[in-house]
Parts: sequence; structure tokens; C-alpha cells
Amino acid sequence: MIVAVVSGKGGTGKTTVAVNLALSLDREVQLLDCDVEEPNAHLLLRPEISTAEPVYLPVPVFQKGKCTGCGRCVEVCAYNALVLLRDKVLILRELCHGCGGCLYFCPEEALVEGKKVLGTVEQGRIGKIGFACGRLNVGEALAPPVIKALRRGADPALDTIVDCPPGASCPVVQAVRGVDFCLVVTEPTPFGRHDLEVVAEMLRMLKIPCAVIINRADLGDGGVRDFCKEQEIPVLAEIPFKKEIARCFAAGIPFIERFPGWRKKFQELWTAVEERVASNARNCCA
Amino acid sequence: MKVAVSAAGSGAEAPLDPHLGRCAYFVVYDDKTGTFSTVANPGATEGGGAGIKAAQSLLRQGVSVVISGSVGPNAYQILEQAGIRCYLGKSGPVRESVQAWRENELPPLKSAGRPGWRRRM
Repeated sequence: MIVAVVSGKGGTGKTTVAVNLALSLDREVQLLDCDVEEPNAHLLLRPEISTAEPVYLPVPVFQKGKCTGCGRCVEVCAYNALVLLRDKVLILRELCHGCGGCLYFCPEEALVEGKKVLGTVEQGRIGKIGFACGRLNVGEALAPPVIKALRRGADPALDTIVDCPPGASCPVVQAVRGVDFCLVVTEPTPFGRHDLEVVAEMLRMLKIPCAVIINRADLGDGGVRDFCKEQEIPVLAEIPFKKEIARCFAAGIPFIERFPGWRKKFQELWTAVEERVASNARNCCA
Repeated sequence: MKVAVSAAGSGAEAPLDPHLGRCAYFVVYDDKTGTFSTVANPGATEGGGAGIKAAQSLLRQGVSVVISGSVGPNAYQILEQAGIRCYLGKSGPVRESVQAWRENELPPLKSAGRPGWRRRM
């Protein structure tokens, strides 16, 4: 089973949930830190990193002397990454999404495939947890290919927890692609509710079942709970607002180490998710 | 020689739009005939790379001079490589900026503006 931890709003506790959940299961699992713009799960888990592989984006390279200036490459580029000057094609690499359309449609083979490093995928281990994390290079804007490489490198036979980036845009869509279930971590504030609504809509469109975890549950207002009730989204856990939990995070310590009672709660959370995924599968087949 | 001005409307009386990538139109002045024509900016509706699309369109039209408020780094790079000169226009009708350009009164735009940001005029 693959479970993604998403949030919409940043800073609600995705990594806290993902890491504590992985540790609580106390068996072979994988944790993928897909927040490639600012990965931080390693700060809590402190895994031993064994490999680091670069992630490449295929980009066009212009071959002088072959171009007839037909402009087909410029026409087919959906990202405006190519410009036809008098005697050459200018390639704006930072806009290229690596789709290969220009290479495919160039009738003169005046463009060939080059590659550009976007980031790195690191793999390692800590105890029973197989860990992997993506890192987008500073200055790069294209996170999805790094997330794709990270997800592809995971062992499909193992239960997997995917720590996602915040928001509901392309990197999140890429991170949750093909997962069995999403845990949406939110906080009971108007901001929390607003971004929860956006994420719930995204997951509905992607047809991924979800449940909510309310962090700092004793703060704020009733907006998040009202929304969950209206939308029939189950709330599977509530984490209290405790200074000691914040202290743990600041010190890089997973909070189940200080609150061992939470191990059982996370195990029950996992079981509840398993039951929902199984029941969905039954309903699909019926 | 063709001179393109980023504009919010069509014709010589349209107000100059300081944003090259996302202006609605280019009003093009031809100094041979002394006439103004208007073309839509294909960059205006782009999700990304608006300035690039706008610059490519200006290249296709054989423009030699661009008058605008700011030119983003990508568009600037393209126009520079194509040998198109850029000038900082005046707010108000396009006709006034073209007149000022003819009298050598417009300052050249020397460096790229910040992406997505227009210069104060």
C-alpha cells in the first residue's frame, strides 16, 4: 500500500505525521520525501544515505548548419522555450519541460537531445525504514521530474509513505500519482480549511480517497470539522497543540519518542487506512 | 523601418502599455509610409513565456525598434540577439512615444527588467 501525506497549507505537520507513522509501524516500510524544494524528513529520521543519483531533464541542443528556419519547433513548443532568430534557434533551457516535441517535429534533425541536471535522488536507510529523498537544485523550477524519478526508484513490494510538498499544484499531483490513499494534514484555522478545500477538490479529481488528520487540534475554530462533515471526509486523528511536540520537532526528534502512547495511535491510523483501501477495492470490483 | 509599441488598445491614440510580454496589442509604426497598424500580441494570453512569444512575434514582423515600459530578461535576450533596439516609452498615447523616438528623445532600455515586473514610468 502507498499512502501519501499531503496538506495544502504548508507547515501543518506533514513530515511530523509521515515520519512518526513510519517509525510507529516498526516493520519494513519506505518513506519517500517528495518535498524536493525543501526536503526535511531526514532531519527527523537521520538516515544513512548510501546512494545519490542525478536526475536529468532531456533538453534540445541546436546543431548549426542544419536549420532551414522553418519554425516548426517554435510552433510545437507549449512552453515557449524556443525562439527562431535569423540563422539559429535560441533555446531557453529554464522554460523547457523536456517533452521532446521539438526534436520529434524538426524535419531537418537540427535539434538533438542533450541533458540538464535538475536535482538528485538520495537513497538510504535507518533501521527498518528504507528512505529516499529528492533534491531540486537551487535555481531550478521544475520539481515534477525529480519527484517522478524518486517515486520510480521505490520498491513496489513494500508499504510506502510519501511525504508530499505543500500546495495542490504540479509537484503535489506528481507526488500523489498512483497512491492508494491520501492523509491530509491540516490545522483548524481558516487558512487550514481554505487549503484543505483546494486539496480535497484536487484529490476528488484524481479519484484518490482521503482522510483528514487535524494537527494542533485544540486551537482555532470549527471550520475544518464542519467541512469534513459536509464532504463526508473522515477525521482519523487529532494531534494536540503541545509545546513538547514543538520542542521535539525543533530538536529533530520524532515526537513518538517522547509520547510512546502515540505509537499505538499511528498503528491504528494505518490499520484504519488499510481497511478503507480494502473496502474501496471491494466496492470497485462489486 | 518598423517600430513596435506595446499598447493597451489599437491605433496611434491607444495608450502605451508598459508590459511588453502581456500587453494586448502592438501598434506598429512604419517610418517609410508614416502609417500605424495594429497587431494582437500572441503572448498576452500565454500561461508562461509571454515575453518570449511576444518577442518572437515582433521578430517575425521584421520590427527593428521596440518601445515599451520594461522588457523581461528572456525577451531582452532575444531582442538583443536579433539586433532589435529597445527604448523606454512615455505613458500616454502611442503616437507621443513614436514622436519622441523620432526626435531622439527616448532613453534606450539597456538592461532587462525583472521577470513579471514593470518599470515605473
